[in-house]
Amino acid sequence: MTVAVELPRWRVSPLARLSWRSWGEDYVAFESRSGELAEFDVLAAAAMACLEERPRTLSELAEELAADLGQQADAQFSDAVDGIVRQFRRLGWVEEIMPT
Amino acid sequence: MANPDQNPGRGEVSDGRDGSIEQRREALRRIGRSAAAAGAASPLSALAGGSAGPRKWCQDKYKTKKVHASISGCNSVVLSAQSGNECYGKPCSYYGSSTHIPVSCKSGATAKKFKDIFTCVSGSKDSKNVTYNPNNAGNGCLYHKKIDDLCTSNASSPEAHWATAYCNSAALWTSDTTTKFPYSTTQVNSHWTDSSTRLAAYSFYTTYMEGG
Repeated sequence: MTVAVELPRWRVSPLARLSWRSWGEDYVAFESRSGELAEFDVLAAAAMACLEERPRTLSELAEELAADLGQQADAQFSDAVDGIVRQFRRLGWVEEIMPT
Repeated sequence: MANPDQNPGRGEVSDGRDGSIEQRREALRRIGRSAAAAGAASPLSALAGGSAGPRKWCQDKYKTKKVHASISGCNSVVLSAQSGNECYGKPCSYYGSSTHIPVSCKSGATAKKFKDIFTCVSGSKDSKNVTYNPNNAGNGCLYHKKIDDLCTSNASSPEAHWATAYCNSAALWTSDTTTKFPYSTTQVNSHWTDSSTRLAAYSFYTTYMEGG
């Protein structure tokens, strides 16, 4: 018997209050509750945009971002996306939703 | 939101564009389309490596924060830092040993003097307020000191740290995107020469470019 393992999804924290601005391929996000101002590249900015749309697993997120680029996600790209999500988690801007 | 791009000194203010969800997704799609149109290799690895933009960053010497590796941008924290894009520099004490001084900062086996790497104007004063006379090396002016002497016997002087920045540039700067130091030796000299940039540049070099 095969048991499907449901992976955790990531969503934007309901407490986060983010404003984004862009300068070409440079992005700055301001979180108004903490007053934190942080700079990101286009990939990180788009990753957060995906999570703002709806919660996603890491693999869904990597696949969607790669699709935006007209490509398929490879291992290096997936690792980079994983790193981006971890950075957002450290900031408290995203949180994990464990499967029920 | 706060405006991180204000630059009152230049009288220019730009608050950028709204970074809506769709705008951010579209920016990524645009990169994909551009790469395809140009017949370029997959943009995935470039983006995964953080080379999609000028993402050079550095850490302060206490390793407490990562910031943009530039004099104007070092007040901006960088969180999407990729390891290959780190800039750094050796501390002043490192260049106290003549064996560590880059070849381009030596005359033969001997370290160059401060006046040989920076544009020193006759009649100007060093940080000890001693007047520089190109023809009088014996008056104690720091501009006449060799780099390794500055970095040992005069390590607390600004001249020692400017010489350190210059040596770091000579050792680590390259003209391509792989550079590990953000400014060329010509630029370091310009930062020292230009009184309008000197203080900010000195702060940047000593805070962020001497921790390696």
